[in-house]
Amino acid sequence: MTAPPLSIELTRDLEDVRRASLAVRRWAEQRLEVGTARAIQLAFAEVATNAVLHAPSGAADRFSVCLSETRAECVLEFFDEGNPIPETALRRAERADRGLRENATSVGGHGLMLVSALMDRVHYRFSDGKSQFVMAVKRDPSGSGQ
Amino acid sequence: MRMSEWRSKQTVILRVEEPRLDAMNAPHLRSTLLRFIELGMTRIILDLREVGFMDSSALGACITGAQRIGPLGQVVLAGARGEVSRLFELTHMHRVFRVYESLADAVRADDSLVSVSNERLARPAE
Repeated sequence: MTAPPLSIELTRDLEDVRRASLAVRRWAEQRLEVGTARAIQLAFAEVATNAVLHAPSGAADRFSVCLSETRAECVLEFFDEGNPIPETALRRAERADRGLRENATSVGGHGLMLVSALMDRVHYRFSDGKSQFVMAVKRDPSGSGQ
Repeated sequence: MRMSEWRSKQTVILRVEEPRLDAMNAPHLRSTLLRFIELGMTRIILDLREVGFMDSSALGACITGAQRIGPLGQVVLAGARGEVSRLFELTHMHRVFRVYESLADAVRADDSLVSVSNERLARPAE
């Protein structure tokens, strides 16, 4: 049986990202083993921080996140009207293992690659000024973490 | 950001007393590292035993410190556990930093600190 989704609306404020990050962790730890729950928390923090730090002036002052679960996976979805994620960053993230190895000495650019490395499925879409970023991790069929 | 420090010659031990290192406190971590490098410290040991969560912003602050200190100095990461340790593995941080399981291990690797007592290392002065 699956629980109702958790929806969180955030302002573009890092303090808000911190608060929501703890809520994401609590939600994930009820459903997943601790390591996977923390991976979801980190993926959330990376994308939410980007949404705060890279929002264009005039962007909507809020964005939202929805956590849901199916029998097979836990899903984290971002909905935002900020800037689209640059194509080059998305391409780099697709080759996360190699990118993280080759970019170890770079000051920035780890965030999306980390998300890609931590999640089992990542999908990004930008259309009509709106971003939808979907990340998912598979659930342990043995029910660990529940 | 809560942090305590202990200095000996050109080495400084910075114990991060925060449960999270993220985009909120990464700028402070970065400026602290750069301040000690400006003061002439050539070995900075970051004691991360109390940190339970770290993101790429904080990682970037540490990398900035490692780049600024240059090839003749070192930024050392010690005491990382759980997901922080996993973050270092995922991002291949062993290529950028010397990473030690504990502060004691990091100190043992530094000849200039061998006389420091274990008690002192367990509780760096503020």
